[in-house]
Amino acid sequence: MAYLRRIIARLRNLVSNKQAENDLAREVASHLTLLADDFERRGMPPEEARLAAKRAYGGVEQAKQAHRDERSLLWVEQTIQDLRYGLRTLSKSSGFTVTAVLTLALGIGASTAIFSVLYGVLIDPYPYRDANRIAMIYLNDKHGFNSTMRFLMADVQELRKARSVASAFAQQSVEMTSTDGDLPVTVQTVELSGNGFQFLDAPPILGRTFTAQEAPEGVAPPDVAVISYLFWKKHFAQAPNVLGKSLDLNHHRYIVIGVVGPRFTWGDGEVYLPLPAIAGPPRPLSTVIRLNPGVTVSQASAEISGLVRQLGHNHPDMLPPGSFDIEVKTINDGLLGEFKGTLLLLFAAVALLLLIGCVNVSILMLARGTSRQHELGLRAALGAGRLRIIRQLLTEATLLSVTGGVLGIGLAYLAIRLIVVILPDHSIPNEVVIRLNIPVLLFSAAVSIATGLAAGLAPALQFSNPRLNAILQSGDSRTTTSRRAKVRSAMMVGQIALTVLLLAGAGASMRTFLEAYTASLGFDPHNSLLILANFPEGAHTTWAARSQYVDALNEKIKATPGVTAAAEFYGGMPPMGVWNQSVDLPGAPPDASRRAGVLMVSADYFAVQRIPLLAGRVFTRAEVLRGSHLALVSEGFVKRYLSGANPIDRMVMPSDLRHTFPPAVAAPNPEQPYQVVGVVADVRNGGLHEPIEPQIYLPSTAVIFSGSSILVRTAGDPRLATHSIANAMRQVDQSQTANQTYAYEDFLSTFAWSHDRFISILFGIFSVVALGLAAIGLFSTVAYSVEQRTRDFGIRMALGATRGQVLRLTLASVAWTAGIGLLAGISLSIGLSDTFHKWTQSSMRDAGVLSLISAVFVLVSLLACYLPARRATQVDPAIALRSN
Amino acid sequence: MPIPILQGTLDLMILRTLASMGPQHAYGIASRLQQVSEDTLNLNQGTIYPALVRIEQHGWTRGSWGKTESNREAKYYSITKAGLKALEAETERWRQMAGVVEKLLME
Repeated sequence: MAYLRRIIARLRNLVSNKQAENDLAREVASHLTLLADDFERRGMPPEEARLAAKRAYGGVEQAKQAHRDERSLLWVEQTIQDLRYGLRTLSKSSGFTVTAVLTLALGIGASTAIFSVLYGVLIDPYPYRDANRIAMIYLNDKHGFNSTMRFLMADVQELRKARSVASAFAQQSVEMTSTDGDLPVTVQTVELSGNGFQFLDAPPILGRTFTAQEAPEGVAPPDVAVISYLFWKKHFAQAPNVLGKSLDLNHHRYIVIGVVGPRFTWGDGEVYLPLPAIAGPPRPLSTVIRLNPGVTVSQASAEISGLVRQLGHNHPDMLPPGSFDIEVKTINDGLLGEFKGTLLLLFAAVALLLLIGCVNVSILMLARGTSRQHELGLRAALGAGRLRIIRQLLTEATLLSVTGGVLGIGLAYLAIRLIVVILPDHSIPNEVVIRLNIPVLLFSAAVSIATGLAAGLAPALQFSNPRLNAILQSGDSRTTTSRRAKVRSAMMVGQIALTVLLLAGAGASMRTFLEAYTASLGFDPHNSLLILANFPEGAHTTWAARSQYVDALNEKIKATPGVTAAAEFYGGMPPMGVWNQSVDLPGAPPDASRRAGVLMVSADYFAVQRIPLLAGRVFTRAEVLRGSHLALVSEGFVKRYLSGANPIDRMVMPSDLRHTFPPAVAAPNPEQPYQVVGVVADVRNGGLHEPIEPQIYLPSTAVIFSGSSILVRTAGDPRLATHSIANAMRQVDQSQTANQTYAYEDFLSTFAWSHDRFISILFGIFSVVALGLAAIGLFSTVAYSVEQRTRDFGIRMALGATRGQVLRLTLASVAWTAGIGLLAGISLSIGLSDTFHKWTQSSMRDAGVLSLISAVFVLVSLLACYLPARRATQVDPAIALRSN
Repeated sequence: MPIPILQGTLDLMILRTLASMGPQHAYGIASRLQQVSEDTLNLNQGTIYPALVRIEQHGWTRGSWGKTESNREAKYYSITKAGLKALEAETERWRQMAGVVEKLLME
């Protein structure tokens, strides 16, 4: 306690120092008077007594200083001194200060911005309790398809008993139609088993959520609804009295009991309802589990895999034919996938940027410090210890970096807004909020201080060197110490190498993006609308009914004003995602490696996509409606598997079509091979960075799933036709909705390019900043060496050296530095290319990219060096020789 | 030959002085120490200042301005309750320490 009190007293002394100082002076004076009085009393004359008192007291100033040191926190006081002194020095050389602060602001700003994304996405993505243990169960079949595993309510009970599972709830997403307003609106509802909210455990911002007690499983629950924050805003205008209001969904009335917070977007639901108790056979439900603490996903996968196989004996239709495996993934892993790698890569890139900025400030300080040799030497001569000078220089650097940090946070605020705009859709969960919050700010504060210390370290160690005294005595501050020059050159090489590495990353990712952006697709996405629609629940369940229904939908859409053609397709979404199957060619030996993409299309598909027919014919509407066993193949298919022979009338049989399982329905005679009737041109089908795979087209009725993808060609802007098409579809079946609608170009921009675009924009910005920093580093180095060698140049020119010769002399040393840095950067890029490729699909080994970025770098550095070097050629020998 | 003050003993001596003599100013304390030591302590009177401020910041003494008998102003230090407790502890520590040293020297 006493020690704590003492520290507080010493801290207080920092503020009330003046009073303590007065007090001390008064006390010392009184002490001296009392002493003198005593001596007088012993018979000394007054004058002598005063002197004797001083002698008895000892050094007055020493005593005062000892008192001061004892009463105050010495280091805090010295730091305040250093700060004052630093502020004065920095404000005197504003050019240096501004450059250094901006450099650090860019570095710290960029890392703060990326860290805020990292924090939002990887560290705190979900508002739910123990979100890192919330997991879903996936089923991977032998073809590499994976889907979430569904369980009957009774099985969920079994799941809860598993050792690795702490709790579980069941859910299903249902689209409902709200009939409260003038127009029916589609509402995304998520039905949760009663314990759903208790499981997720994110408190509502208004009212309450339903519980397992009021909605026990298997019993008809109360008609209550919890609504999402967005839905509250959209549907109820954020009315505070929303609780108790009614909500009509699918002609059923619910009472709103609560509103969840803005980050609660589980299942992208707008309205959350208790899972209804349905009559009839139980249906499988999507199931969410929370793992017990300490259980790994592989342990859980193993246990649940056994459980699923055991349950499969009771109802085999829940499992696919053939082999499969069960995989438990946490919601983080499930959603983030490769984006995690991208973020870590970007974080590495900003760390590089920060390092470059740090080195840059070091270089600037080293260059500037030379002109401070005198000042620092003097301080050392006056008794400042080495540590004291190191502290002074580190304080200055930290002052720079903290100022830079404050500016950087401002930059980060703007940068985050840009990042949120270009962030690829669906790459991160909706719950994620990216913003400058306390942890992010703490991060940038720590980074600011660390950066300052790191940047100031080399200059501090150099300039506090005791040998400085010798320099001071020699009186010539222009002696270049070769060791210091070496340190600076090494830093330049490092800085340039890292800059080149960033440039290579930027070049490579831009090339990838451009490759994707300009790739010839093989189809025409312009004026084309993509609609993903699930069929109404429980209707059109047989193959015949479904094929009739799809045909009717198509006819109705075609008749909509503004629509010129329409077609359905299943099995992939060009240019990526393809139902890859092994293909039998009757008459040819079986070959498991003979694989092709299989897309099932209606008659007008090729016309809508503008895919050229090269031979034969396409399907007719009647053939599609009948489910005829006909096929078209792509040019690539003919070349690869039929060695270019005429494919017409050959038979093909995609192996997976032999067995389909519910809810898909298959055309009659699923074992019967398909007869090729035509050949069409190749279309991108395996993604924009992969080679085109051989492709087979079958009639869209071969297998019909529980929903359809519809492609509509429009006369004008397809976005304008969305509404009338949705209306047309509802006319065929009242409950038919269009779940998702995209202009095909928007679809490409969102799903095919956004990832590449995101990386290339950010890398582009980072590399431009890095290049600017490297240019500043080069500029200041050359400017500094020109200043140092003014007299040297003067002599040379007096002796007849030409301007060109002087210029060459100036640039020679920096050319070596830049050249070595460039080579080191290129080797680094080549060495790290594989790691980079894993996360971005881009190669930094590409000769074109490397030569391009080298050219950019050389050009920029020439400019940065030429400007200050030119000054050397303008030296007037007479003036230069007279200068010291 | 005056002896230098053993590190850390000055606090104890000042506390003891204040406990036995009541409130004192710096000069009074210094005089008392010199008197008791019969001038064997190497003590400039200014030397006690850091100890005075240290003790005060620990909360073991409280200082206030007053007048001497000769009507001079002076800062008087008085020992606090915490100071008395600290004195007890320090005295105990010193006795133990002195005992140990004494034993070692006797061997």
